[in-house]
Amino acid sequence: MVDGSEQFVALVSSDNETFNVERGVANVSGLVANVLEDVSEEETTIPIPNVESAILAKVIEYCRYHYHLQSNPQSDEDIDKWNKEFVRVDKPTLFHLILAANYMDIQSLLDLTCKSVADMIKGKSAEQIRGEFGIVNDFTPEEEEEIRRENAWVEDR
Amino acid sequence: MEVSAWSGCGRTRRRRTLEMERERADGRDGGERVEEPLQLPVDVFREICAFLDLQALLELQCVSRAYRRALERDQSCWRRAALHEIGAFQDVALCDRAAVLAGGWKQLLRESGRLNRRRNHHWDNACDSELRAAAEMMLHCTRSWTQSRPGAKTAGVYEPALCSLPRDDTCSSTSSVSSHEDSHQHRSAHERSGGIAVRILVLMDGSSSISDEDFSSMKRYVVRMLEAAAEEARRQSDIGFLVSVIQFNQTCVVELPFVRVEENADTLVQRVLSISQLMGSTDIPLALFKAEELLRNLAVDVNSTENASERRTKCEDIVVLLSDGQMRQEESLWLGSFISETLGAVFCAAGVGRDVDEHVLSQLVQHGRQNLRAHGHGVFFLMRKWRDTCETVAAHARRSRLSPAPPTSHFAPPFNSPDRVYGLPAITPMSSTAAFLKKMGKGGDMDPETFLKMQQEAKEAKMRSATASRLASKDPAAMGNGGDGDVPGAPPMPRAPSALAAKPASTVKRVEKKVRTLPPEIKAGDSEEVIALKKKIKQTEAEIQDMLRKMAEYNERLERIVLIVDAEKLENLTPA
Repeated sequence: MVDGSEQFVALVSSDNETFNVERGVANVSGLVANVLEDVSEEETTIPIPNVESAILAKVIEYCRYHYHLQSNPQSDEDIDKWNKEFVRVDKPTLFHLILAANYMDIQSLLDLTCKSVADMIKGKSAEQIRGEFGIVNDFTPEEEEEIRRENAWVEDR
Repeated sequence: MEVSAWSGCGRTRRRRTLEMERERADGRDGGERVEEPLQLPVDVFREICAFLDLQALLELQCVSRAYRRALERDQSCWRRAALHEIGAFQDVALCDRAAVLAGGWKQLLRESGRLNRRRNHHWDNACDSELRAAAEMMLHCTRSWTQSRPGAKTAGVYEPALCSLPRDDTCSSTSSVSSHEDSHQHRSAHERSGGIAVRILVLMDGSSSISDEDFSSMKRYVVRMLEAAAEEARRQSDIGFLVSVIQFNQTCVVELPFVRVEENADTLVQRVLSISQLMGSTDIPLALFKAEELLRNLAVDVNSTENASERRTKCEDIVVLLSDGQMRQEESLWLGSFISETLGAVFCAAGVGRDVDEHVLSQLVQHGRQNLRAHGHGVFFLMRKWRDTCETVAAHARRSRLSPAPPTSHFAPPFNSPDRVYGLPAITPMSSTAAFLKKMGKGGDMDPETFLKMQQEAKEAKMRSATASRLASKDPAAMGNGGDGDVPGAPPMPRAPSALAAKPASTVKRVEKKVRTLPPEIKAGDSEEVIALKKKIKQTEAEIQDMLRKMAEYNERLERIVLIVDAEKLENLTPA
């Protein structure tokens, strides 16, 4: 629960920026929770070497909102709305968030961000996906023909 | 104080590390560096794939080599997408096995042809791999029990001479059973002494409610079962499989007497494929009753022979019912208790046909599981099924009407939900029925289910009003005077007596009876002319009744046709 006497933990990003967050908020991350379990109570600085400060700030924002939902419950619609707004970021940030969520072991954030990328892929052709994510087509024409033949069974969908 | 030298790794990374290391050790990555699709590690990329449907996965596979490689290694996303396509139709465990037999989930989907909507958009057909998987499940449903309980039911060793049915044996009081000559040579039963004899009795529904395609599916299933049994017997030398096939309608015909499978597999396959459908009505209880009788008599015969104790072995029976499960309620109740109490065999069922009653068949299998005399737990699976009408309409509308690019939402559920199908908005686009309604000037945005519901309600309301008016005409007082302005529960209002109401009740009844008596009865004093007239009335009455019955039947069919016929064709129709 959130109260005034809560301890703080310092999370240090890869570019050495420190973020002081409540212990409960930090514990939303499986990685931080495991580290805090293993170390003594005096140790309150945890380096997050794979995450930049801008991304870490976003992750902390996510953790804080979802941690405070325990004490201030909101409707599913409101939560969905907040989540949607949270992932309305540019693609590099979104991919960095995915990596950070994966690294910091925050499954709900990982699901949220992966879903967001999946929605960008859905309903698009291979060519459109390449255009969307700037991917180079490295198939030879023969290989492309082979793939087309291979997938002919679903052409009638 | 700072925590130093922490070297943790991410959640999915931890989960996948072993798998990836194994892949590298196997050299499956070709010794080259694994490229990272979307600039993400492969394991994170798989997390994204978990939210993609089949179409998106197939498109993604065509993007680049790295994507193709990554997706080929991740069967879990294909499984998820394939189960979404097949899952509602088939048991998950069965699908898992079928995927192994087919060589992968994608191959299973390709083999099943379910995605080829143009060719096969109204039926859910089990493909060969699914049939084979189902056959294996049925064979194993007794074996697994035997392994866990070594003291299984003791009967006798199968001996063809003792077990083949006499040609003149009758399976029903009304007709005789025809039995083919068993020309196969059998190995001595002593060779199997001490092993397990599994007797499989297949009951094939050959009634008219089973179409040609349904019947072919049944035969394909029996063939797959024979193949699976032969292979199993070759692998496990202490198991012998004996198969018999009975086709039934209102009677039973032994198409194949009990024959050892492993020695005659090819011949048996040919014989099964040559079975022709009987047609006629259905009597499932009779077939089950005769199956029980047959198995019981065979066990008695074997045990009564000399030196039976020397030839005793574990004998397990499986009865497999292949049917659409169409039966009356009282029949299903009787069957339920029969299977759970009397039938000393594992009961399995496979549903097939346009109007297959999955509920009844699966319930019967559940009853069979309560039978302590049976040596295993039966299974149920669907072999061939007409897709749900509304689902068909939705699929049709999706294919023909929707724009190719669906509206994207960041938080759309990955698969079907009440408001989304394959990531596309559900049924709202025009269905064939909606097109029909529009054509008829009744509004184009009505969905088929509402249309059917409205029709049903209108029918019921009509019937209710007809009943009410009939009752009112019979007993006006009982209906609260039956007037439009009557308030329910209010005292009856005084009303001017009608000519009929003024007469005594007995007279009224007599008059009504006479009015209803159509055609009029021929009496002794009637002249020839009157008799001829009355006969003609009687004949006409019968013809009218017949026509009304046919019309009701055609109406019912038309309702179905309207739902499945192409929207474009309907639009070209001009109502007379």
